[in-house]
Amino acid sequence: MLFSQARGLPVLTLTEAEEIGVVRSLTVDAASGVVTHVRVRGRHSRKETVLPWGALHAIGPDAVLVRSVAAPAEVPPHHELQGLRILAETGDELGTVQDVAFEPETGRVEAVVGARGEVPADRLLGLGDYALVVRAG
Amino acid sequence: MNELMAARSLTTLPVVTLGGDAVAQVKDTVFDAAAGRVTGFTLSGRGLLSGPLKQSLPWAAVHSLGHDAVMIRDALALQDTSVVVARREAQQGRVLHAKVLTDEGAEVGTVLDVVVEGGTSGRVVGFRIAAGKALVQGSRRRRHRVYVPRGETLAVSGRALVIPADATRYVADDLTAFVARVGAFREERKGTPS
Repeated sequence: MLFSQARGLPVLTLTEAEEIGVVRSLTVDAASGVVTHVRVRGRHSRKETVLPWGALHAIGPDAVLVRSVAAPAEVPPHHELQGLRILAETGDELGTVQDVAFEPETGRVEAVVGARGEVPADRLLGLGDYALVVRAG
Repeated sequence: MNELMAARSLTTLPVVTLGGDAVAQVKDTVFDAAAGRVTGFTLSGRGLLSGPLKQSLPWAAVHSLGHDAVMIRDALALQDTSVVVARREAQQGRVLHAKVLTDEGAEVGTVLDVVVEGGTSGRVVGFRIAAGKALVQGSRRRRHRVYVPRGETLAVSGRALVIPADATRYVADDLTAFVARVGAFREERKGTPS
């Protein structure tokens, strides 16, 4: 699944089927290569809810089902991947992030789709304000 | 060989951690006394209104010098400026605008910029100079700027630096052509017994 496909999916609670909002973005931990949090924006209120990956029951093609909407104790800083510059560890730019492919079952990031081809997840080194840093391939 | 870069073009290059955060930008490049190596960078803050930083970046802490960024492991790499650039003024003033002489005593021009190798070596491979008449005979252009290889036997003293005479046969007009010339120059010097 791609981040661009997940974005905008309605998020519902599993037990009450109550819609809490739509997926706004996914937070990635570059070092471990997994999606750690899902950011949900309310449909009417602009309120943003942060859900840890563990609170999700399933990410389907049409909706995301969650077990609990309790906010995690600690929310890591979010770095929006889409449009972020990709920097090789040598200090050379490799374009910008177009999309991210991930496994909806596990949250494992498979690859980052850049303007000049895909970067496999095992080459990701770090993700910060300025860039996504990748190992030279 | 790694990409070559003019030291002046490094100014404003972001300093980025492997974690992806930009912590500073390059203000000046600092060289050792013999102008053979980059020893570090002085830094300024990122953004329009930020001034020079009290901390600098020693070359030992540089992960890689690239075309688009200076990569460092983390922000702990930065050190107090006094550690990195104890004699900065003396060194920089020494190289820029210094006269370039060949070891045969001919003046070939004055130094405009220092060319360094990217990657992890930090080596100075040559200079961009305002060429004198001796070097570019027949040129109609008044201000002729060329690149000359450094050579291993370079001497820096006072306001002049001395390069091997044969280095002047490997001048180039731009950095792209200079890469090939430096390679050829090194090959030839390997062949001559010294």
